[in-house]
Amino acid sequence: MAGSFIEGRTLTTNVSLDCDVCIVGSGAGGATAARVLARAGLKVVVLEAGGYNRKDRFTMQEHETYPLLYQEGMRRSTVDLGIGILQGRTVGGGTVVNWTTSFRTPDHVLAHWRERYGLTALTTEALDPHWDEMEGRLGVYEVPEEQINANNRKLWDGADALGWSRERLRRNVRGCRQVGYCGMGCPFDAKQSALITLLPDAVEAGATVISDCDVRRLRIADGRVVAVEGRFHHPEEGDRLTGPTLVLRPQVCIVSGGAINTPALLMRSDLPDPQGRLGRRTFLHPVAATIGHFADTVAPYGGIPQSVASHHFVRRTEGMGFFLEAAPLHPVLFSGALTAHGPQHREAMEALPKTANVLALLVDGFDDSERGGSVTLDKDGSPRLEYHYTPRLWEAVRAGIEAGAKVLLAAGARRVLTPNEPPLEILGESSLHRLAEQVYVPNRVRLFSAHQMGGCAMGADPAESVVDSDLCHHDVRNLHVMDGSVLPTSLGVNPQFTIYGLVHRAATQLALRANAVKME
Amino acid sequence: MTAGTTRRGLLKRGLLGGLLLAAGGSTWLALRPSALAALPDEPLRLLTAAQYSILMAVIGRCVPDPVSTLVQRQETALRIDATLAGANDRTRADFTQLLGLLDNALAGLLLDGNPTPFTHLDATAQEAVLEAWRTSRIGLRRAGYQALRRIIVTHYYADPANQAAIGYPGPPKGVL
Ligand SMILES: Cc1cc2nc3c(=O)[nH]c(=O)nc-3n(C[C@H](O)[C@H](O)[C@H](O)COP(=O)(O)OP(=O)(O)OC[C@H]3O[C@@H](n4cnc5c(N)ncnc54)[C@H](O)[C@@H]3O)c2cc1C
Ligand code: SF4
Repeated sequence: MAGSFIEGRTLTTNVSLDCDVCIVGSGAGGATAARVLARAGLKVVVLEAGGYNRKDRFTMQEHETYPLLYQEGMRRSTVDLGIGILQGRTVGGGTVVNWTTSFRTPDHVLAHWRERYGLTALTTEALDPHWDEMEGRLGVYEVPEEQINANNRKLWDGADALGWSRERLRRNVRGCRQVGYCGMGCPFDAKQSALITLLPDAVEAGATVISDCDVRRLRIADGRVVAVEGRFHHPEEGDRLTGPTLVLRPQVCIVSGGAINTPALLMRSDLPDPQGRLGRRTFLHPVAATIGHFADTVAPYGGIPQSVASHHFVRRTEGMGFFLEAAPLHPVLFSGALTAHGPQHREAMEALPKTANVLALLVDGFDDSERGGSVTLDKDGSPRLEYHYTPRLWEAVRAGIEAGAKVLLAAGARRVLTPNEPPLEILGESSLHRLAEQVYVPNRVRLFSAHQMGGCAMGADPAESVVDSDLCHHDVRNLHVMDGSVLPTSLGVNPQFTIYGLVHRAATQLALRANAVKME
Repeated sequence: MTAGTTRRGLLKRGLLGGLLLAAGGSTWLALRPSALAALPDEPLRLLTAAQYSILMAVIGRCVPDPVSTLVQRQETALRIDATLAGANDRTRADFTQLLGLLDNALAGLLLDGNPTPFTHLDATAQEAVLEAWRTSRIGLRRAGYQALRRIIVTHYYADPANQAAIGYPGPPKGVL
């Protein structure tokens, strides 16, 4: 029997339910788990804090869609405001707003996880069938060269001129109209987000997906999750939780709230954590974005948002690695990212149609000196993220900006503006040395993150991890974490398919075990 | 740098940070009230008249004449007010404290030797204050400047008319 989508904001009475599986969060991880487990015949209820927003609400207006679709209306950041955090909060989570770039986990990352964290089961061969299944469902294809927009073409041409490796990206879309509004939700249902693929599959197989429900805590007794407690809210009430309450009593609880939110929920639930692992080692792929002004029109807001990458520096030996991609630039996002002030800010805004950008995404978490970020709880129980900056990180920020500037200049930029605060203006290679004279501390360089990973790391050793490679919690037997928070390091590639692969594998195994128990 | 000076530096920053927050948080410490701007016709949802006036002064620096008209600046302030009215308590408190701190005479006196509140300064002096915050050695001040500029420019460019003025075409017509 088919299940349903329920808009929690419409509920007026308290809800109390039993089910086989409760999944908290409906993003990449939660939706994958829901699809697998519902199809295995289990009674699945998915709870999502964000709204059930579909394409009729994807108006292609930043000021309307950001408050609807992002954590804290897109104002989330580290506590010192040094790193802006872009993270989804809607039915479908980050998959609704992401830029569709689709990478499997690199071999060398899995090898590092096996060696350093004892994750011996995680081999490319073990994950390939899960990726095959997910890529098939989500329509992944490789962008042909003629579909590269002018913004990405600067990276394509610049890397080529410099002799750096470059590649065309794979994306999860069907019938993309190349309009460029992926970050505001695809208005054509071309992007194969969880909202229009995995969640409808799960509902068709009997799952119930309930929106507008913020899960506040899990109740634990005798080493098991016995109840999941949430509260409904209405978007017009802002972030205030004013609606009825919800209590679910599941056999199995899966937390898929994403990095930052998942460790926060587990902390609010007073889970055993003697080693203080929860919320530690949250990695961000911190991004430093460099922009270039060109003579011709670039229109960085139109066309396929991301189609090119360069992994030339991902395993550099001088320090932390980074990879290069481009981002779609729309005025609200761009105005907030610019490090210019007053008239200079305006001048850069007016140049937007002729602006291209190169992002340097720093690959944090591979050196033992790097602790990434730590999540703790604020007085009201909401997460606070503090990032531990290291000299190694700042060196890579500078090197990443330099690489971005070189690419843009090689592609013909007349002028480059760096994310230093205030921005450094670079007219040619000869002034790149001035990057070394800038101050590198939080808020003297604009950084942001669209990839949050870790905080509930997988690992064989319970002393340094929260879940095992099957994503089972080490201490609480019927609790699983299935989202980006389980990654023990960052990746050096965009994360959605790493999450899809790991969760598809773990959920498939869980379905087998759960059904075996039911048969008994 | 020796370990000793690093430690002293951190201590000083910690103390100063605490002092700044204390000074910004409690209005009775302010020596001079804010210079009030003309209030918009529409009622404010969260900000007080003083907070609105401080915000308007900073907006005037971030999107100055002739980039914006007075009406556009007022609309920007009203949009920010609406956003804050819908935000959680922590965000509201942080932001209103920040505005208080910027215009707080005592904080200005202690840190810069200048007790004149921001709203009483002329444009050139206001620019100097913002620039000092922007490049300050005190992390809290740098963060404060960022919070102000980001909320202002993102709310200014939220208006499709202001987007059109920089040559942004907006969504392709007739596709929805
Ligand atoms: C702008 C942007 C662009 C991106 N581009 C790409 C890209 O091109 N390629 C790529 O691979 N990745 C990209 N990403 C990242 C990718 O989307 C995420 O890594 C991925 O979605 C994370 O999956 P997740 O399951 O960990 O969490 P999410 O997808 O973030 O889902 C978590 C969900 O849980 C909900 N939730 C959290 N806490 C609770 C609670 N207590 N109660 C109820 N619900 C809760 C949240 O509201 C959210 O909807 C991008 C991200 C952003 C923001
Ligand atoms: S670029 Fe394609 S996938 Fe992205 S919003 Fe436009 S049509 Fe949708």
